[in-house]
Amino acid sequence: MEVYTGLVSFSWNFFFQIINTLILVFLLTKFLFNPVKNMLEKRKNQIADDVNGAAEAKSQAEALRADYEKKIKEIRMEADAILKDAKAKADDNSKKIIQEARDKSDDIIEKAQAEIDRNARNARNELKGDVASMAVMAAEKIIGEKMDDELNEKLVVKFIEEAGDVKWQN
Amino acid sequence: MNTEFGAHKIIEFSNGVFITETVINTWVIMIILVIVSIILTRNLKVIPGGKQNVAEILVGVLTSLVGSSMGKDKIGFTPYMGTLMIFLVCANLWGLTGFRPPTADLNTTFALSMLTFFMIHGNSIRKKGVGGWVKGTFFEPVAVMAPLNLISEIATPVSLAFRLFGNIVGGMIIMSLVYHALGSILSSILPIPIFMLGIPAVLHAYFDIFAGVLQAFIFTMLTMVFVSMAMD
Repeated sequence: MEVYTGLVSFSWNFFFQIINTLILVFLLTKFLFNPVKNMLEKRKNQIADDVNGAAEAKSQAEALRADYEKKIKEIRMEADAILKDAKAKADDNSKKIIQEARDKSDDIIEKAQAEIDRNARNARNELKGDVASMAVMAAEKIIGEKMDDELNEKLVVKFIEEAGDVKWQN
Repeated sequence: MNTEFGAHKIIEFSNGVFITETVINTWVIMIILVIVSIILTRNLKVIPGGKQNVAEILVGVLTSLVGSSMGKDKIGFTPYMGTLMIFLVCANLWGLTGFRPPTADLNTTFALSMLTFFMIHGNSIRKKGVGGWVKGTFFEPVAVMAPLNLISEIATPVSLAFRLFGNIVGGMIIMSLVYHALGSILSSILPIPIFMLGIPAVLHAYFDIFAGVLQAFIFTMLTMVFVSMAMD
């Protein structure tokens, strides 16, 4: 049996090598080229999806933000209105309370003034009577005899009145 | 010294059909390539990492090479051209393992160049129809050129096959001669074959790595160019 083939010789191995090559092409297509190609395509699609999704999410977020900003503005305006209203009400209230207090105090002062006036008048009248009788008594003692009480008293009162109210009041 | 540079017969059947070391080595390379492919593409993720990057770069480079030399519309040839390139690089570098490179056998190189030949004409007919193929292949630029064109078309696979075969088998023979020469020089001077240690490495770098990768590239590029030219 010849062990070596010729250096430049053809044999059935030519067909074996064609078949081998075709098998290798099939196997590498199945195990290397197609999986990697599919994966790259999948990645491409996913990236495209992600980018589109991100753009959509961004526009959504922007719309939401505009919405929220509008709402916040509205709420702020409402709050301002409520605050203003409350302030006005409080102002009103305080004014009313002050007015009431003032009225009350005026009333009290007035009443007190009236009371004082009345007291003063009473005291003055009492004092007038007392002073007149004391004067008559003093005069009686000085003269030593009983005067006509009624006449004398009238005289004294007249004198006192002529002397003036001012002196009594002080 | 063995003066036979033909392929070793490994299995011989009773009817005279035999299988050479070329075919056995091809099977080994095929098994390695398929296993490596399966490992590289196992559990592919959208977010790549580790070995997946290797698979993606390999396929990406081959795809862009096919796209740039054949045109974007013929990107579907990537699996064939890519396999051809990967197989030829491995087969040409197979000499580094000490075994016979499968491409140092005319049966392999002719098998590949005949596949190229059938791809050229098959795709041309598929694209242009039989009439367009006959006209485009033989009667261009003028009908008188037909005999020369016929020779040219037949010469294409022959030149492809012999270019690759010659480069690889030449390197193989030169390396074999160098090893024997270094061995015989040394055995007469020194009992230890110390010169066989470093000197062949330089020659391996040229004949196996440089010439091997270059010839793989040339064969694949020419196949791509011929097929795409035949289709345009």
